[in-house]
Amino acid sequence: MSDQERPTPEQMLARIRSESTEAASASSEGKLRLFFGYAAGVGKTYAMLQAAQAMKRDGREVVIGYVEPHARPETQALTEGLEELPRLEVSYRGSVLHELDLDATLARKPEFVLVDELAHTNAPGCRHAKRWQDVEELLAAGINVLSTLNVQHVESLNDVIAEISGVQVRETVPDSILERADEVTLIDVSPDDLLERLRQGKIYVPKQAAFALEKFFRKNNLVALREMALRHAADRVHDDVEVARLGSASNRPWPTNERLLVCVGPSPTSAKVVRAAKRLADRIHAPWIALHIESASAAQWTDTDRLQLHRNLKLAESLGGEIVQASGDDVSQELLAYASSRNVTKIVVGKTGEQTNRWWRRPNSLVDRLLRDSGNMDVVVVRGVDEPHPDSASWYSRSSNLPPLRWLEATIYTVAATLITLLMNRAGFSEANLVMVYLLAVVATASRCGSLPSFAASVASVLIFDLLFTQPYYRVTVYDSQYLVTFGVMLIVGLLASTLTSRVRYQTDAARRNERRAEALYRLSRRLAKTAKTADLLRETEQIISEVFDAHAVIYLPNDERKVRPILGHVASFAASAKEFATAQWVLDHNEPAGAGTNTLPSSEAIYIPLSTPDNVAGVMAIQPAKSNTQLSIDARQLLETYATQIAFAIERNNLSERSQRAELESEAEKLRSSLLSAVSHDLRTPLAAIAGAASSLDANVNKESIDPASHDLLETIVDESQRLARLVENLLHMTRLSSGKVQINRQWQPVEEVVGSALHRLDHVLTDREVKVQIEGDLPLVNGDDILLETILVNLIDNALKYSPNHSPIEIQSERVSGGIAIQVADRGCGILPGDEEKIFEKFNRGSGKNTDRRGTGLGLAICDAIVRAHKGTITANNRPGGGTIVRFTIPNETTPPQIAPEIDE
Amino acid sequence: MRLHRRRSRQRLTNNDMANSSAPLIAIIEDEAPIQKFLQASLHVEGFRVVQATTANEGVRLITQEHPAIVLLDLGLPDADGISVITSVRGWSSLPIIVLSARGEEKSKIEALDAGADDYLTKPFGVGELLARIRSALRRAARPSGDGEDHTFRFGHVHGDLAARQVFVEESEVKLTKLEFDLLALLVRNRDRVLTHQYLLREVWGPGSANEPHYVRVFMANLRKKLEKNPSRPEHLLTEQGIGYRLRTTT
Repeated sequence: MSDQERPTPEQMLARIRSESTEAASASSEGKLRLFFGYAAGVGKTYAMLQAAQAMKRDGREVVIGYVEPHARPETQALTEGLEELPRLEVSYRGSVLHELDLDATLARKPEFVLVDELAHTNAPGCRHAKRWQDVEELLAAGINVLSTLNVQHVESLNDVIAEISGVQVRETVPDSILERADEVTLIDVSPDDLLERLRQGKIYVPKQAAFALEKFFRKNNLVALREMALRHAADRVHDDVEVARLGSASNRPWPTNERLLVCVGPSPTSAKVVRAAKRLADRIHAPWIALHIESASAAQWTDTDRLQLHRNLKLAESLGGEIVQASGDDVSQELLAYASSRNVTKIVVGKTGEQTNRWWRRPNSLVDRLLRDSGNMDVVVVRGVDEPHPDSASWYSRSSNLPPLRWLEATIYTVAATLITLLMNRAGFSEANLVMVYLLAVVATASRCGSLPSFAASVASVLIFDLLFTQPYYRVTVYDSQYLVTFGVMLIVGLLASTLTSRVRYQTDAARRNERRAEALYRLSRRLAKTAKTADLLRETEQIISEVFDAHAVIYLPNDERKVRPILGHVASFAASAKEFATAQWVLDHNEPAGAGTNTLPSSEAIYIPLSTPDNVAGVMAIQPAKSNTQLSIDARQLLETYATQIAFAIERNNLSERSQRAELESEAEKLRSSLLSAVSHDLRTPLAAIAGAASSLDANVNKESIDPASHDLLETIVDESQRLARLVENLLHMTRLSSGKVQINRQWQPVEEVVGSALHRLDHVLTDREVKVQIEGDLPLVNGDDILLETILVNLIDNALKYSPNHSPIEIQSERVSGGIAIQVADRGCGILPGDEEKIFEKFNRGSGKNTDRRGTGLGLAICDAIVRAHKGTITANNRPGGGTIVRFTIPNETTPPQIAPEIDE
Repeated sequence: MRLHRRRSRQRLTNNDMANSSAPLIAIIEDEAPIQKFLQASLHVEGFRVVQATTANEGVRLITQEHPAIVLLDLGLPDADGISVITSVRGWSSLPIIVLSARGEEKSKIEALDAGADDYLTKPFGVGELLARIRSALRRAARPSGDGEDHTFRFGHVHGDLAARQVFVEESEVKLTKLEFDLLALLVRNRDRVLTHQYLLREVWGPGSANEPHYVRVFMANLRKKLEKNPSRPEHLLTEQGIGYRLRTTT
């Protein structure tokens, strides 16, 4: 394969990503199947129900989550036989609205659920603002969803369709959900058929939308919509083909490395530019960035402007763009600098037609400057920006929003200057000095009142000077042409001063704002750096945030069951309601912001931001602006998110340190326990060792005939019993260590034979009259366990077999391979286990019930075996043996792959 | 584990001879009941016994009395028993048998690495104790170096290390090179416990410390070839958690 045909790493990555998302959606997330049409009435719902019926016939579990109840009889008939979930009834302004019951559906958890009208806007009070969000949650819960969608509801096509049809559709669905749909079925009929259906009354038309629909259902309109839908579907098919083609590398290389940047401003038409950029980015398969550069002119924005900017950025975000905000004086330079730092290949800007070439500004627009300086980047200029670009915005339109107080101030300066000059004139000062006083007034106005008042002040000053101090007095005309120069200079100085001062003022404002933010952030991080109890820390954090944002802040922490609880530092009334609680819980569970100003649970009073670290959600922060009905600006949101990260890490750090303290305490306790244990064991063992040793010593002398045979028996009993006691002490110690969970398992690879052999060797003295059959599968792999503990298991099992079976009956030990490990079993011909006791005998101090009670033993042996096997992550079972007796079988799984021993090459 | 070539016990026995012909045993043990039982049992068997209850006293006793063998408890009140082994090994290779409890495999290995010759797990019978003492004394008395006998015999197995031949009953058994090396090492240290790490290092070389299962697998092969019943070995014994011992007597 030649180099050109080989997929680039980027292509392979893209493919792997799309495959892994597929794999992910296959494993945990539900699948989304969309029935896509170009208008109401093409038969989407009908087709969806048909598909549902077919799936039901195939034995799949399909339920109706929500299907519009107005359906035609044919459609209605198709719902027969399908389980229908009850709808949620929401009363809103006196009427009852029906919605999809999200919680009921999640609780029902069917395999497939039908949810009609993906673009539907939910009634206020529902969890999500939009139905597509409900669907996302269903998919996340692993439920497969079938839904319907019309082309005009697709976000990126929204404006184009509005232009074609003249009907603005408010209910939109982000492209991302369309892109994640696993299957899109296009439902198509010819426009003529559709119109015929409409005439026959087969298409449901809500009364309030009748007019709009009338406008909508015109033939040329429908043809255009149909083309859009077909083209969109075709694009999707094309994408699928491309993904497949990239894998096979059968054709020319794919143009990768494209990156698109779109400039976003506060004008409503900027949204159009964003949508155009999204479509372009899709077509060239490039990632895209929505960049907003805040310049000096931002000082004059109104709240409406800010809100619109916020909306535009949100739109870009919902369309899948990356949002970046920067600030700087020269928009085009900032923009190009950022673009080249991110290797942007295409810049999309809106056409800013009407205000080019004003004489008092730099003679070129943003577009001109971009075109001039963009180097090897493409600049795409998008038509249809009716308003100027925010940066190039005319000052006039903005300044009209200045409060009248500033105008009053400007007037006072001018009047004061006039009064002073009148006095000076009377005192005989020269005219040049009088001009200086006016200039002072203009500069003062510029610095205090903004650019437009200062411009007005300079014009007014010129006029007043002309009227009062030049001949002819009290007339606008000037005799001496010298004064024209004076006027001109005054005007220019006024303008320059106003430009400069307004810029300085903006920068000061920005600096002050930044300083305030930095100070707040510094204060917060300093506070967070102090170690304290989490609750105290967060209480103070709540206070700092409340002050900085002039808002009520509440932090919620999850308890052990991951349920939120507020840390109430000060009284915030909103935190008390159950609804707000539910929002906080949702945010904790989903790690996404929700509440006021978001799309999820927007009816909450506060906005809820998750406090998340890369691998955990440490809590939730709720912010409610102190002034009601105000929303946090996008600035504030960003700052809040910075705070959220810091707080999250502080909580995590505190949690960690609390945990490590607890661990330290535990290890102290453990040290104490183990030193106590070794003291006790020493005190028990020493006398036992002395007894056993002394008795054996005496016994050894029997041969020397210093002791009679009866005494010999007694001595033997002493030796045996002290050995037994020693084993008991050992078992007790084992049990104590194992049940405290502090035993280190020292896993080693070893032949089963060796463990069996050493266990038998230890029991040699009691096995004298027993036949022991050992059956170990040939070529048995090594067993992966702790040698001493494995021996302990076998010693206990063999000892039990001895205890609970008649003398001279054989004991059988078998071992074989099982998947992922080794199984070993010990079988006897003893009394067996009473039915129902198979589990109980592994409990501590349980010696089996009934007939066995006369046997000696503490009932610790099997409990120890159980604990050891568990520590190896294996299983142990006891069963009655066919033909009488007991079989105890345990498995030891391999922790790693068994080692291979290369056969020795013998020379 | 350091292996010390046994010097001739000549000097020690000469010293002993001055007092009596019976070998002198030093017991370093702080528990009076155990001490009492050891002393009584050994005395009956004809050994002379000196005693110490602390590590310091023990070292002093060894330097002054030159015992033939030392029985050392690892849990002494003033210092770790291992420190006694290290300080004695600085100047003497007399046999040291460690007394310890079950579940203390780690300290047993440490003691063996420090130069102890053998260990006994409490509680032990007097028969076992005497067997260990005798075999330690025998080894200490055995001439080292060139005079060593390279033929060996245990149970129904016999062979010749120099000729690299091993027989079970009368038929020769074919061993691989590594199997033979392993067996030879055990034979040269018969009746002593050898740790896993020591065997690995000596047979497989210093780079093999991460493959402890080699010893176990080859040991299993040796058992299959030499033992009558490989799953109930009589000679190639496993000292669980520590290593192996070639028992020549049954």
